Amino acid sequence: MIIGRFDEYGRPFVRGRLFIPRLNVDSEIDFLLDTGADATCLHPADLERIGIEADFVPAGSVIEPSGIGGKGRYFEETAVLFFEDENALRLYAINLYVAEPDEDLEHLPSVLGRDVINRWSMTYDPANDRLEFTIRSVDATF
Amino acid sequence: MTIPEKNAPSIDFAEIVEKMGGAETIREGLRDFSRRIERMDARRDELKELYPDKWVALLDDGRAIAGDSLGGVLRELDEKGISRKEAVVKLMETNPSVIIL
Repeated sequence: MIIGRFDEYGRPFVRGRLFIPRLNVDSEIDFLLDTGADATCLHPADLERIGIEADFVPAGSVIEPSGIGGKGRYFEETAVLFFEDENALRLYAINLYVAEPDEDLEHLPSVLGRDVINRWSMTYDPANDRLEFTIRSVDATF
Repeated sequence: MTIPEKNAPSIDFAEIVEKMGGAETIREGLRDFSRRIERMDARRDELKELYPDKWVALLDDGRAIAGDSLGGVLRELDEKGISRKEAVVKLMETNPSVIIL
C-alpha cells in the first residue's frame, strides 16, 4: 500500500521520485493528486527546484491543455515515476507534461494524473486522515 | 523484478534503477523525502508566523532559509553549498490562493 497525506489545507498529496532520462533529472516530488487531470504534470516550482528551469529545452510535442483553472503550455517528456509501498519499489513509465516556466504558476504543485491514479485503487478519507493506494498494475517492480 | 507485458513501454527499467544507485537507495531517498515533508508540515505554523508570505527552505538540521522568491531561496542554498535535495521549500502563504486545476 502506498501512503499519501492531506496537507494543512486538506489537499491530497503523494510522494514519489521522478526520473527523466533525456534530461538526466532525478528528484523526489510531492504530487498533488488530481483525478480530473488526464496526465501527470511537472509545474514550474518543481522545475526550478530541480534545477532545469533555466536551461530546459523541450524536445517533445507542445501540449496546450484545457483547464478549469487556466491555461499554460506543456511539453511532453518520457519519464519514470517511482513509488514505495511496504513490499517494493513500484515503477511507472509515463508521458510527463512539463509546464513552460511561468512565474504566475509558481504556486502550483506538480500533479499526479489519471495516467497513474487509474492503476491504483484509493481510500480517500480526509475525515480520518487516511489516504491510501493499493496497487492494481505496475510497469516494473524492484 | 516483474514487468507485465501489457502497457510495458520500451524503457530499460533495470538500467535506470542501477544508474540511480539501486532499488534500496531509491527507497531510502523516498523515506528521507517523506521525513523532510513531515518535518515541514509539523513546523509550518511556526514558520508561517516567522516568515509570513515568504518562500522558506527547511533544512535537515532544522535551520530555515527564507526569501521573497523561490529562485532567491534556491540561489542562497546553492551559494551556501547546501544540496537542494536536503531542503523542502514551501511558500508560507497567510492567505492561500484557491487552487482549481
